[in-house]
Amino acid sequence: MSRRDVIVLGAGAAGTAAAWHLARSGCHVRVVHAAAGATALWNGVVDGLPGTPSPAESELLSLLGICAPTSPAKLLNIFGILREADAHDDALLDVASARPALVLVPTLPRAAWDGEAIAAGLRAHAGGRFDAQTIAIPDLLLPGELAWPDGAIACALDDDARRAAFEWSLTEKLATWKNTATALLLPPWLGVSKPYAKPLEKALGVGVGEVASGLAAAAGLRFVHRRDALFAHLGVEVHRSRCEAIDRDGESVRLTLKSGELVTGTHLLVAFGGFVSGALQVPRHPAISLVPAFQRSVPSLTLRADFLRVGARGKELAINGSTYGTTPEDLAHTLAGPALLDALGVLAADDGSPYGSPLPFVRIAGDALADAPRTFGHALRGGIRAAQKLLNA
Amino acid sequence: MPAPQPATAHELAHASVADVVVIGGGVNGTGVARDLSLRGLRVVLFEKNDLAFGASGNSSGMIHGGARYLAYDASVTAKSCKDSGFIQAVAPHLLFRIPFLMPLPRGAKGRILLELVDGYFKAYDDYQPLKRGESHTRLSAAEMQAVEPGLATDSCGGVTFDEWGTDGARLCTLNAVDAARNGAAVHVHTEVERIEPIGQSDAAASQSPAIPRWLVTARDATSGAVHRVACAFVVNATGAWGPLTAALGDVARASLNVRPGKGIHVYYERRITNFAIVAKAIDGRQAFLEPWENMTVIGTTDDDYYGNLDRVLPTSEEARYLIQAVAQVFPSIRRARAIGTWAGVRPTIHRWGRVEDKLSREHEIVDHAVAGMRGVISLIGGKLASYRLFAEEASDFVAHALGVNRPCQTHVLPLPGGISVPNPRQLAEEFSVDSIAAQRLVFRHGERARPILQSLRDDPRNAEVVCPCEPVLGAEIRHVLREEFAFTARDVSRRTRLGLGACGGMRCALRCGQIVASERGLSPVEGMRQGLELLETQALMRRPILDGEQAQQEALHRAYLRGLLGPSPGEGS
Repeated sequence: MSRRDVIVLGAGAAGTAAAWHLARSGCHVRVVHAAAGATALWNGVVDGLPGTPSPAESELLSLLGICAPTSPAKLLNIFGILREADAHDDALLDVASARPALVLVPTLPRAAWDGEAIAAGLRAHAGGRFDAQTIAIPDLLLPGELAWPDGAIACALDDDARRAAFEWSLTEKLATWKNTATALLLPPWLGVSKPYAKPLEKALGVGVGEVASGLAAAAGLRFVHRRDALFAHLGVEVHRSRCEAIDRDGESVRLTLKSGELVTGTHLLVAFGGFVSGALQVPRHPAISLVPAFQRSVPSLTLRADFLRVGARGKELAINGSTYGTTPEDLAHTLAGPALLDALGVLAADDGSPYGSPLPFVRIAGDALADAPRTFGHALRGGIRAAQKLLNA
Repeated sequence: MPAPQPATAHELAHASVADVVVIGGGVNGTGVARDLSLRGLRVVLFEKNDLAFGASGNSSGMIHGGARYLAYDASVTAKSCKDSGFIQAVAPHLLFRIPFLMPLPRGAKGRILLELVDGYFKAYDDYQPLKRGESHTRLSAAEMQAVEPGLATDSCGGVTFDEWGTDGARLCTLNAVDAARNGAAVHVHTEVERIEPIGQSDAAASQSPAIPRWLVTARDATSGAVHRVACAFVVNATGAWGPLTAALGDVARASLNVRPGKGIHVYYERRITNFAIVAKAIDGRQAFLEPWENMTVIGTTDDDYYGNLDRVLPTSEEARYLIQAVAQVFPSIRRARAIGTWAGVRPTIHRWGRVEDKLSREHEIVDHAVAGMRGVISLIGGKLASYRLFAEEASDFVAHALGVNRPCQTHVLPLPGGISVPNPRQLAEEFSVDSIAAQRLVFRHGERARPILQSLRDDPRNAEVVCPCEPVLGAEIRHVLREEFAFTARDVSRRTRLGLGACGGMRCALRCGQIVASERGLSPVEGMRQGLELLETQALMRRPILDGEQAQQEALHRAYLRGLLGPSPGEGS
């Protein structure tokens, strides 16, 4: 088997999983990614990984600092709502596995943290199985830090000196709760490059963990950090630029990047989250034709690279207005079930072969995989599977 | 339909007594409630949804002088301009200037049009002093380009004219708040279920006009509590819902007929022009682009509508009709980022055989005494710009019928917050809040911005910028929940514009729900449900304009929600 030169387009959960699996299988891997996508907003909660993970999945999960308990975890979000998950960033507080008798929730003079509401939510959901109590820790943050976003505080807490002061104010406050409190819930602050949950737990002698929060979230930053370390370790080449066109160049596939670079390889693994990365927003290019009529209505969906097309629900998608096809109204609907936006992906075909039988040199994973609403776990599993298929082709 | 049954003695014994029941929390209903309570009458107002839920909260947000109506009904223009002046005087904080540009096409026809338009606006200039407006200016093609560089280059010149913008939802709220200050009882989310006669003899009624003749029964949608009010007069100010409301009192459809006209607007994430611009749609109707509050709005469609009034949804065709029209004069609108739409239904006066655009914008008081229902009137037609006048006329009618002769004061007494307009920069410094947040707060609350900011001293968390797009502070959310009849996250959004910016509520809706829950003692789950309800509503209104960047934002939004809530049923594989 000749050595494969694989381009992975996208570096979210799916792209990371695929690049990791390909690289450790001996492929030369180039990752092309542009912007923060859904994974960068990741709040640390993993859905879509039911059952026992495969050996490969387990290995990757632990590399990414994700723990997968045998029974579903119970995590608390920043609005005080408990919910189950298959796995989670190990900095998150799992009230199912910790079996806490009393969870302490700090109150802080800080906008984005309503300790009373979170404690009330926890009590309402606990059904008497455990209790939650608020404690005021006014000096937990330095005055200047009060207005910082959570992610910035998480970065600050990578610093040992800052950690020492943080720990000191907590130790002092927790002293009175030593024999009753079993866990301490904190905002998403527990480190980025140096995960802090476990060391803090050891120092304080109680379970410590974050709430799940999706905005400026530390979990997303930790993911990015661990991913980059993983790529560096595996010798994966990373190109940080937007892909503007994809075409074939003889036997190889060629990506034109916004930076002007050309990246070529023998295989392409598409793993971008269409809209979020903006990857479908390909500017005018000879390989792309836009339907001129009603361009206003979602022109960016009508991408035609010479062998990649945008599709949804197994069909090529061209939204030109309701007179001519799908209406933009079908695209999005926040809560009431999956919308087209969820099922939007890339179709790969050369001779009009139906969706599902892509070209041998193209594999698709994660958010770019049409026809399935996606979760972090689904993307991760899809990434590994796509890499495996590519290796077997 | 069977004749309404007179109220039973038992029902009457449990009823409270008022002079007037006003049904409808739009600008006409709240306007009448304020006017009558200022005249000393005991008023009860029922609104089945929220204040400003219908046309009032979904208009173009202008108190314009009605230049358009000058051609066929100069009296509408005169009344509008005069009333615009009064509204400005009583709500000076809730006001921003909207200078308009009207470009005219190149060529012989355009040049003739320019002469005509120039003359037309000369006539309109006579009305401008009534509303503190500037006179019009005639501009050459080069001057037009200089003041508004994005304009299409195929014009022969044009004119400017002056209008004013306001916030319809705030106007309704302030009228309701002031009515309540003057003794009115305001019940939102409370639907009137029955309007029944209280068998008084006409002789008794003519001796004492204020004797109760009607028993109004309404039910609070949240608590299920029933309100029974015995009153002398019922004012039906439910806009497009008017015929449905009147039917509760057994008014046959034929005697109250409105021509419901759906209008939608598309809005963009920021101000993209210096001027508002007049455009022409494909069917010759007038369309416009306006810098409005902190965004850009294009409008307005006008189509007969016979769908569900409680759930008026825009379509992509309507959005495209407007974008196409505006792109004729301002082509780069196609590259701007549309972030949402709003839609409402006008209660236009009924007329058979006329296209929507040629229907009169006048208002009308329908006295149902003609149909045998003495003491019940319906208000139809009208527009935001002359709501005060309409409310005055209706209140005069009611006051006269009840033998009260105190005069109207709504043109001189300021609305809440309208006594003086504080300097936002000073407030921002004094209370260490963001100066844009202070400026928007002053716009919405006038001198009441200060007591709202004072609450920051009690609890520093009130300084939290809950909605960064608008922006909206935690303190303002608590204020509208305590003082302005807001009960849900959507109500808060209507009063503060929370969640209506570029992120579509992603950063604030759930936090807002949490604050609602803590203020009202609801469970955290109910708070979250309300936040999600607001997000859902916004998503529905956004759907017709999704493309490019906005579709990206939508995908981020969905990823965020999915992470927060877990996959919805049927998702994940």
